[in-house]
Amino acid sequence: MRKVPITLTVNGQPRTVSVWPMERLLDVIREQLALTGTKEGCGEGECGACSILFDGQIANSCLIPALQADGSEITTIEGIGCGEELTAVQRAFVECGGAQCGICTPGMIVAAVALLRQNPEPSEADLRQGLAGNLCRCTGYMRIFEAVRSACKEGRLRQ
Amino acid sequence: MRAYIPGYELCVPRTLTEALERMAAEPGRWRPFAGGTDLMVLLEAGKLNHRCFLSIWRLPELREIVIASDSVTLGCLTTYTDVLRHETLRREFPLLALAAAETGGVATQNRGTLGGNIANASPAADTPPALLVCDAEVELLSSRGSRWLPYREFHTGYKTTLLRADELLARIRLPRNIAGLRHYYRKVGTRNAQAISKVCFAGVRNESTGEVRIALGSVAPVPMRCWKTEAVIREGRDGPAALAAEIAPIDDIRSTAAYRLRVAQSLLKEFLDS
Amino acid sequence: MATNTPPHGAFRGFGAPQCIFALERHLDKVAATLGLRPDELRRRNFIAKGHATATGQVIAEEVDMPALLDRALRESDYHAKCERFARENAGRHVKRGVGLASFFHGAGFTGSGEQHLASVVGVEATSEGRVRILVSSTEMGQGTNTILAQIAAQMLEVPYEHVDIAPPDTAQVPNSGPTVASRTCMVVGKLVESAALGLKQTLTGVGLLKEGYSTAEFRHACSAYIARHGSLRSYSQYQAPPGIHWDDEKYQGDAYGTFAWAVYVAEVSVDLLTYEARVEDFVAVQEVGRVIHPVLATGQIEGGVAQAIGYTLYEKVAWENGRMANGQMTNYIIPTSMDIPPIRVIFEERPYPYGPMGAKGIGELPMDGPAPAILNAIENATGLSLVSIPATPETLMTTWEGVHA
Repeated sequence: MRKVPITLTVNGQPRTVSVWPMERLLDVIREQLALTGTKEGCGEGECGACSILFDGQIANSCLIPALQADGSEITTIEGIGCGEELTAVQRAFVECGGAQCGICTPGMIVAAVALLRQNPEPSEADLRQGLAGNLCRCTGYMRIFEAVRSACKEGRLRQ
Repeated sequence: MRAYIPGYELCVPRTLTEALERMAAEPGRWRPFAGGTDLMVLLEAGKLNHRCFLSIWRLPELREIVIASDSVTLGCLTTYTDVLRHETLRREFPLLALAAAETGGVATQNRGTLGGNIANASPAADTPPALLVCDAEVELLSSRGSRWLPYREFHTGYKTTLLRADELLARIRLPRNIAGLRHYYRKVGTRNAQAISKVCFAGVRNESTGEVRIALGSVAPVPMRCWKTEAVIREGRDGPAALAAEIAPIDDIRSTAAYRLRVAQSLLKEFLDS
Repeated sequence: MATNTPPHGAFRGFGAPQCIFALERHLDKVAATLGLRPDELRRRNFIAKGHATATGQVIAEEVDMPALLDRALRESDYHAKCERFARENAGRHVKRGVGLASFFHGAGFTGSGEQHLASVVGVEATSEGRVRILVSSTEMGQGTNTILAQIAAQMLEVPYEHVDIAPPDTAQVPNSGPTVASRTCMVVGKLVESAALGLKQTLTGVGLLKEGYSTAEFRHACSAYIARHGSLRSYSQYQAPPGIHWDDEKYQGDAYGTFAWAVYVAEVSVDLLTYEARVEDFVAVQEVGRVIHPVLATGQIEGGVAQAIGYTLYEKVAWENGRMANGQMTNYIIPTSMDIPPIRVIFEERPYPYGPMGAKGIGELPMDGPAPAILNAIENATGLSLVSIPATPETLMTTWEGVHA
């Protein structure tokens, strides 16, 4: 087998990398693109720590073979917010204590952003369901829900 | 991550025709790869024995949802999210929507496909019981042509199906005849989300005609339509007892045979009483 | 003794969750046998100042367990729910119930452990007036760096933003002990407080600082001191609070300098079609000395309660020939966001003189109460008496069928 080149848009920028066809997109993101915000929590699609936006939808990057990412648009946690300028969700996580050890946090924020883009006024049930694919061991989820609610409120006030 | 990644091949045919030709040229060599939510898990566990895959993810013909007057045809690449967002499917096939909502979390639902769920042939899959009570049909497509089969015949044994080496499960067709019926779907898993089912129950009934259809997952080597139990219920006899005789649950890492049996019977009773 | 299972290590609570599980399940049984309500039995037998514990430690601090119990019962609407559920459960296959647990958790190493550790903490200042905390404690998201900086900032009357924590590199920091045993805030934090005080006294002692100084004055004082002496650093070493005696031979005496005290209430539902138990609501009331940072402290309780819910209902370890058969995220089941109820956290404060600003330790406390509270609630809902965890649906079913055969 040989490595093959793929081109994809990463956080708005076109990137070309050389990949093994079945290489996990997670590994391409972390190692070749040097974007280490996306984490490996389980390597089996259970924990959501590797969540990214893949063609606009949340997906577990540990379950995407690199060759399928050719021609795709991905957003990693580094593409949420802009450097030091945090989005509402990120600011809310800081204020509300939504992160403890931080391993679930990048994926959790991607999931929250994906949820709010889809559904700017989620109910409690929608909120829990939207984040159900992201496991957290430290926080017990309460501060995370609080953060998402707070970001929603800010979004509402803006309008 | 336990696999030797360079040992795997993944080709990306540009058209459906090219995909089928490649599968025909070397039957058994190339296996279809859709969203990867099952296959990549096997890969990472070092348990993906097959080495050569053919990505069908971007083939548009396999993603169409066609509404006809008497049936709905879903491309095999219809994701769980596609099902949940489709108004007609949600309205007329609520069991399928319920099953889609129970599968994994949002991330899995965005990449997991109905075709993959069927072809992976796990007895614990969430959509097969719904598809079985919907009397679904499946299209097995190859470069030799297309054949449609009743989905109830598709699974022949544990992880064995009628799919031939050069065939692709291309479409799923659902007759539009269950919209007004009473429906019931319940999955009992290890937790409320992201759970593999211990028991999965789908049922429809027509109270005026007495028609009843029941299918279960995780209680047999295949997703199972329970014909004998249906007949017993139509005759007004003991459904739960018939169910106990018809299904064959096992002990495994998630649960026990005794639990699965008892819960299957309870869900049947809840369905019949509803 | 040889076993064929892998070596096990310490887990949050370190033996307390296991013992308190047994104690608090047992107390409900005692209550039932005596015809007393669970809360009433506890109310009549609560430990208080002047009583002795199992190691013969006489409680020297004011403890008001009845008040904590009252608060927990009120916040959870315990009695009204008890009564309502008892009425409504008949004729429904989803039974509801409430259960409680009352408990305490000692912070720091047991007995003479802290004395043996003899932790040392350093606080130093730079000529720019920045303060640096020298500890070996590890920040892992629990908020160590934040609260230690708060403590130093408060003691030195400088802005929080002027305090840094040195990396826990043994080349740079003294040994303040491991980050375990709910000790970092209470024991290490107290040492930070006293080392910071020592640094302040160094400057005031040589007349470089006067009471009520400004931040600018602090900076000048540090600069002047360092110009003259080369560095400005203060160390503090652990000393046991006065009056603490522990006998290592007999394992008797004062096991801990202080305890955090708690009453937790769980509300559960049990679906008798599937034997699934769910926690529907949870109230956690605790007296913790002093809350240094409300968000971080709340996060510890919520996280610990969630972890304990997993411990109680989902986390079964399956052994096969000495190997863990379910060591993957897919088959070792921890709660998702859809499995955790609303958790209400209430803090009471009664400052502990030997904690920083009066704070006690709380990291492990929340692991101790939920399991017995949940199983007590399951018994209240269904009459099923379970004595082990996890209380899986399979176990509930087997128990139910055993009783109703």
